[in-house]
Amino acid sequence: MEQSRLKDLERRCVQEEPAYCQAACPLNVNVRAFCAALGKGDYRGARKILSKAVPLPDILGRICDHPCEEACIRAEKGGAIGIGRLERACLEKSPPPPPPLRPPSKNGSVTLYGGGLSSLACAWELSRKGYRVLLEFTGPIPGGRLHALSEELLPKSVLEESWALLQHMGVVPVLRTNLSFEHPREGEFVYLGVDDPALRHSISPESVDPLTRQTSIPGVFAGGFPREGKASPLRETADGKGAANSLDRLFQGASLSSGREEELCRKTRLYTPLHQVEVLGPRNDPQEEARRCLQCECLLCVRECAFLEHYGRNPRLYAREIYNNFAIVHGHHKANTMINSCALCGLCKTLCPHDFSMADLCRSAREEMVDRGFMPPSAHEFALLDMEQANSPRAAGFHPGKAGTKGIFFPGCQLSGTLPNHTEALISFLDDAFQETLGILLGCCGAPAWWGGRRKMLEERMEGLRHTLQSLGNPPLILACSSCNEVFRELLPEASRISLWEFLLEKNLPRGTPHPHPLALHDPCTTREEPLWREAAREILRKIGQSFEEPDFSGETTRCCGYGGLQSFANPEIAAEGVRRRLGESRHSFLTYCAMCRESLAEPGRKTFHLLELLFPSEVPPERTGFSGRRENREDLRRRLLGPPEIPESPGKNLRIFVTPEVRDLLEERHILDEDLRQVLWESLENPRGLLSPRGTSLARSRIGNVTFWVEYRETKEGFAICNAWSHRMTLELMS
Amino acid sequence: MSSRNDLSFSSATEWRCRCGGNLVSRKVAALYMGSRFEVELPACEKCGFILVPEELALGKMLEVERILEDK
Repeated sequence: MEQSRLKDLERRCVQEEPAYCQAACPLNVNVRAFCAALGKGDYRGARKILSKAVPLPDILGRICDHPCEEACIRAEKGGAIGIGRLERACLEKSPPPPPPLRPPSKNGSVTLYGGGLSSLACAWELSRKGYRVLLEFTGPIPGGRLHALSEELLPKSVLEESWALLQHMGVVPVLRTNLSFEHPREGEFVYLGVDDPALRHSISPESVDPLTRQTSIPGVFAGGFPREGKASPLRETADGKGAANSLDRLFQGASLSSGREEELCRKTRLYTPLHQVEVLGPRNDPQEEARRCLQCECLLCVRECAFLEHYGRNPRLYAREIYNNFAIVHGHHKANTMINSCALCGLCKTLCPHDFSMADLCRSAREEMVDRGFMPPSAHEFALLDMEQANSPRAAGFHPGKAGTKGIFFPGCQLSGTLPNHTEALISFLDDAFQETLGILLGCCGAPAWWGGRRKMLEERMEGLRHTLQSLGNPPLILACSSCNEVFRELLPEASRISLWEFLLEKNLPRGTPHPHPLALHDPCTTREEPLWREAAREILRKIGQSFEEPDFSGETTRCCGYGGLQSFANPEIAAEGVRRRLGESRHSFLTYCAMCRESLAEPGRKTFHLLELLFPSEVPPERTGFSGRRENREDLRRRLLGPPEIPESPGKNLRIFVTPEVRDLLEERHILDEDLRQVLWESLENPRGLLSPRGTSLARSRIGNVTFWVEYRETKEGFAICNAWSHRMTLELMS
Repeated sequence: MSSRNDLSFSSATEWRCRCGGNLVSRKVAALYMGSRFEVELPACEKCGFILVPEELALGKMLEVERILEDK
């Protein structure tokens, strides 16, 4: 992955952007963290957060003009958080920390004119960095305009304690009866705090750089000007702090302005969705009020995706992790499983205000893993072998229409595998509409290779399809599966495509039989960018009189069933969580128009229907077919539609095996196929090596491809009763 | 990874070899993704048929396979 791509991705994710309140604060106070601490009753912790950004927080925290409240988006849901009053409560309820140790002295001395808040803030910042500070002011203690504030607003004692703290830090008072500013000599540095009434007219604001607070007079900095005609304690503090920063840079020979652009106009690109936020009005109790803080963040994609949530990070961090995964030369590629666990469904991109796509990121990462040879072999092998079977002469092939080929129906390998009889009925129906000019193309589109990062395999598949279509004069493809559609859209764009559902609406729709109860409509995730597919399915439901409801995540924000991106192969737990979430969105049975969604969403006691089951309701198919059943169905359908394949049967094909439902579940979970069982049994008959148990069962093993399969069975008069099976990929050699 | 006991499996087994031999603990080389390490597994004392019990295949062996695949 190129670093520029990483930067682009990182920029798109706004999760780590500052909250709206923080962006509105010229001191950059982390209000979100402050409220979080206060909400837990951690007043000391909250004070610490304030002190990090605010010089002399005991003063400003009581009188701040808090523009953060105007920026607070809680305003739309019950009222902005009373951040100003929370700051006061925090300061009143937590003791000031013990004064810090004086830092070692540095070369650099500044004379600060004026006792106003900006001068005090500047004095604090410079003195804690170790510079020598002289503070010239009138009156017994500094404070300027602050002395005029009521005892209730700013107790005198707070001012006295703050002044004591500054003196403890080494600030030297220079008491004046009349304060007047004199131009410094060369090498002298001065800060003019014009918020002290005595210095109000000492310099014009136009002569001050708003970022560095440097004036046109060499060595003189200034701040504390009123803003929009009004005094602003917050701006005064920010001026003093900003000038101190400039002086520090000056003493260190650094640029005064570099990297400070944001100080003038802090912005945030954060996006915080509010649609699920309940209205909650202001609370008197500070802790309760702080808990009203929304802790603004985005995480829109993470909350809605079982995969993103599982790894507990945000897309920005995932992108960095994936980038780092490629930088590893020796050691473990720890992000491999994470990269392979994404369903590539694209929900994140649809939800993201800046189009961050984990799907694009993970798919290209998978391709790079394959190219660079560190894609874990076990991650996708089973699915790729399934694709190979679906494209083998046993399950695939082409049959032209009797009177030519004006259109080709491509049911896709999973529809042929799960609903072979419905597929056959559909083909016969379509053939009528086409007046015997409908060609049938059985096989897999190549989606497993597309999802698994196998670019070369995919290109070979596309080349084969391209050749077939060209030889027939490029007739339109009628597609039943939206995953096939996605693959062709991306990789075979020259092919003319139409969804089966649009085609049926256009030509002739079977009468169908609606289910007696309302069904929850699940759009396959590969229809996210295909509104015509989605609308056609809805129109069919309306026409056949099927009542249905839309789950919360529907249409372009639909969820993946867990088969997408081969998620269920790489990370079955995450896929199962995704299914749980989807099924939790409705109490009704689900209805979909993708064979794999139907298969993945089926759960005991609540089946998921395929639209074809309503259109061709003659037979009730099993709730779930499974890997072995799908393979068998594809081969059967191929024989029925296209005739027997011209290759010999695989050895052991005719061995009769018996599998109980419990063992079937186990075999499916372990990705052990009936043909694997038959192969092991056939080899054990040919070469009877293996083990025997006192229970009368036998154990045989065989290496098939990259996997060793073990099968425990009981031989009966009728055939072989399968008791158990397992597998591993390691090979073993006897050493002694 | 090269530890001798990582994948060794020594629990008593009820299986007996079809050739009539007993299963005894024997030294076996386990190979995967270019790595090779020694383990002890039940194998027939006569014909050398090695047993990989279910528990080992789906437990420790799977774990080690995954680690080696990510290397």
